[in-house]
Amino acid sequence: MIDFGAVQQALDLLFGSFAPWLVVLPGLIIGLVFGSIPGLQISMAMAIFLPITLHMDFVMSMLFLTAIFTGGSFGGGVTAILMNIPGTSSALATAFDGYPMARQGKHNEALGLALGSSTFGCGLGYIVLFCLIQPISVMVLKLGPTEMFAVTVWGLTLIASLRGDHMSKGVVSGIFGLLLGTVGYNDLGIARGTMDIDILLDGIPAVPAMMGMFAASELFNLLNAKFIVEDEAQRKVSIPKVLSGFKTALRHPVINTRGSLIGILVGAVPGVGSSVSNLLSYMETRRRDKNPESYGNGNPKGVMASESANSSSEAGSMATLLALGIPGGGATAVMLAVFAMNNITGGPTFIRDQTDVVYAIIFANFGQVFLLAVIGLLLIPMLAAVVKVPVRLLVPVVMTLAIFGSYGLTGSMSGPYTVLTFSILGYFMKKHNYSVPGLVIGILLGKMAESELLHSFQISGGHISYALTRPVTLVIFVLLLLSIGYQPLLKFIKSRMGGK
Amino acid sequence: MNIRSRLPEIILAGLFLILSCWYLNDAYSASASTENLLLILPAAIVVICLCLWIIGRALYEIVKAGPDQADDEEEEKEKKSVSVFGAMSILAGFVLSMDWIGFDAATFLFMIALMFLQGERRPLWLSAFPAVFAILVSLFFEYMIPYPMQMLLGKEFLEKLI
Repeated sequence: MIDFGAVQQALDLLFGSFAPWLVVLPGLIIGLVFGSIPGLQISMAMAIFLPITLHMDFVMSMLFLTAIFTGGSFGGGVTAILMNIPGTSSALATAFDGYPMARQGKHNEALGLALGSSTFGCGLGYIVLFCLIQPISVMVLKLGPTEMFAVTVWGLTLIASLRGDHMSKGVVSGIFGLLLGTVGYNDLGIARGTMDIDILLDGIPAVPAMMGMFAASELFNLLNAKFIVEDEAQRKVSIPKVLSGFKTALRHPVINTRGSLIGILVGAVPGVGSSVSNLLSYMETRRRDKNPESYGNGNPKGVMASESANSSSEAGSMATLLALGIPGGGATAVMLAVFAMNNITGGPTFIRDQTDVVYAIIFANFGQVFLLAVIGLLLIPMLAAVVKVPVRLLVPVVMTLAIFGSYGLTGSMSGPYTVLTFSILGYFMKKHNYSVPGLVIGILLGKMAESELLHSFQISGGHISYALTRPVTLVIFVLLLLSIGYQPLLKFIKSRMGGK
Repeated sequence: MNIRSRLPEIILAGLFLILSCWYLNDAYSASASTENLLLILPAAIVVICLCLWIIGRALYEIVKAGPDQADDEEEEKEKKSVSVFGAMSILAGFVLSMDWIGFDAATFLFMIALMFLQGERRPLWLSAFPAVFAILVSLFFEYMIPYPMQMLLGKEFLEKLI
């Protein structure tokens, strides 16, 4: 599977001159900055800096763009931890435990954990990509709507895990979110729930809704506080604590490896990617933990699970881009433009004929992982200083950024209106013990779930037995059932054996 | 548990119930085909049933708890939430006015109002910080995003100012 001749050529390409590496450092910093500002997406950063790549060769262009991608994946987690704003859907699960950690004065550790797991996830992702790029791409081609629906259902089961203290309210939140996610035109061209408002025809913008539900609603709760972290002693930015968080992340290889593998597999599925992988990884880690109730209240394992998955998704999406020429999301779509600008078509022929170039891109990403760790450790102290800003300045600043960011995401006033509506809804839901994450997950997955279910229905002609003829679907559903029933089953077996 | 503390919960569950019923009806009116209602119908039914259960349980607990009693803790919370409703109104004013008076001016006014609400009274902080931040954030997004933004002063004026 590994072409060692091409490996040698790839190393020559990368280390024959220092030039390709000159663009990696600026790329990582651009990604980190764009990822850390709510509303500025990684794909936006890549699109803005795309014209610069006209003066670069193909390998150098790809290194520059993948560096932005890598930096941005980590940057999204920074705002999720410090401000409870998951600037992208891939950092949603990071906010579940990262922000509570920050409020407990453990912001240094949380950022260190996120960096450690991001580094681990990204590194492992590219190792797997190096070894298994062709099998992964073949697997992706076998996935149809039924399999995609099964993956979505898996993501939706997280709603039940995040129900909080009230099962009924948690499920209402999640399924109501699912309904909100289906507002607008469906794949049949039928518009539902739009109230004749034009901006709703495309549906409720998911990321602005997420910003409103998490960030703005939380800021209303902060109004009467002086600082995010009340205890002055804990407000300090401490590099040893950041390093301790980083080391802690590396001491949990099982959580990181599971997260990374989920990230690669789900990240490789076009259109699903990191927005689902971080939720699946979080859910699986929570389910397998002896103390699942501690999740959502600042459990470091929650941050690790999410960050390892969303970072390794990058490698998964690169697999489909390189091996099939299919972009899995906005960021890889911009990379596809670089392919076009260099008259290269991704796919099996590209992998066969230019294996050295593919390997060079993968090896360069190993280098980026180490650079990310160094740059992250240097920049985190600066980013963590947010907790020192008084709340009376922080709240208006963050709210303004969320509103501007939502405008930047949608390109119209639908973004700010969505943030406003969902911030008020989120505040009242939180106050009355409804699950805010559940509603957000529902909105995120609603459209995808309906679309895949509809396609499955059309292909099968309405026969449920069709799912039984799809081995991958069955495997996913069996894994899903096992992941749900694993712990109760283990408890049952243990009690039976203990009884004897 | 008294009726005052339970009422917002009932209203919220009622809101979900009404919205789900309306959405189901709207989707059904748009098209009664199986394909259109494949996900919406079962999902809406689950939400409707659970909302009825939540409302019913809350009403039962109100009846069981008997007449209202003054709850100091609740009253304290409500006093605290005055600023929350104020902040919500200011945010609503900001969002609804930004397309009308311009992103820069709306941001400036929003910052002043929210900082004032939170107890900031130093004149320099109340004027200089919102002005500088509003200019910087407006210019930054004006340059970074490819969509036109309504501005009171305009990019050229703000650039000259800097």
